[in-house]
Amino acid sequence: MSGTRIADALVIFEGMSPTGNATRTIHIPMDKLLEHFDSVGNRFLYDEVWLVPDVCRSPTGIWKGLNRQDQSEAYCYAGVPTGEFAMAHNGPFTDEPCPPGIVFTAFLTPACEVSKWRFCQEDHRRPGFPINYDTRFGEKLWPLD
Amino acid sequence: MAIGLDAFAEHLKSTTLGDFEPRPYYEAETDSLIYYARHERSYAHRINKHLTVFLAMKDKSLVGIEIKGVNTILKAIEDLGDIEIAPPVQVKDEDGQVIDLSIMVRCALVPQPESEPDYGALNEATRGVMVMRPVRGSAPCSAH
Repeated sequence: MSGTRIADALVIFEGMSPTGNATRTIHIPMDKLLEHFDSVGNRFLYDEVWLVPDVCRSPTGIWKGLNRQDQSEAYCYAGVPTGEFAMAHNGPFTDEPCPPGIVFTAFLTPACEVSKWRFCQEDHRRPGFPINYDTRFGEKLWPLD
Repeated sequence: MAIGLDAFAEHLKSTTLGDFEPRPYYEAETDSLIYYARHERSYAHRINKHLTVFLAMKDKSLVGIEIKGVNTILKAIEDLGDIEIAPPVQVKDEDGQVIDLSIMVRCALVPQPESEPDYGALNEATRGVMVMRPVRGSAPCSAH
């Protein structure tokens, strides 16, 4: 059974802009994202949202386009979260937020709304990058190398 | 209503979740169908551009799946000729039955996989799970 819910709230915070050269307001729409996990009690995926601010503020890579239909303008932020947000608020993930060989990804709409988040394997060629980053995503916006 | 991270953290800590219930969820923004069969901490492992499996952190066993490009797959099923897709959300065959999630999974696997999937585990995890066809903006779909 759910406790008090801020069902229609829009969480806003400052993260890295998709181009990496400025900050950008990023949104987490509570009703869209958390309602399902709340209703089916998937505690693991629900708790992983604690890592989204970390990765959006300090990603190791940002890509535009998910190489799928209608996703050419979406963004992927990837990185190894420090657990900073969780630790600052006595949340979960204070011990080893991200296991070795794993990175955290947050997917954003063109309007910088977070649509989902996932752990995934790390690419052995590029620490901090998701596996097969060079074929899964479109243009790498940041870092510029 | 806009809230900052402090209020967000307090909400996350104060929310009590119900018991885990395996149930497919349609994500309209990415046209994806997500299904967690078990309640385990997991990571995503991409099979191809249509199918991602979720593997347990502790032992890499199958936890769930994500089918991407659901509307494309449903269109492919409809194009088979014997299956009618009845609006607004239900996928039916000629006998009026819903489509087993495992069939959608096999359709998602039609493109050459980028890595070899565990077909047995996929069938075991998804057979018998029924889904409602999602449409953009609709409520999450539910399993029978």
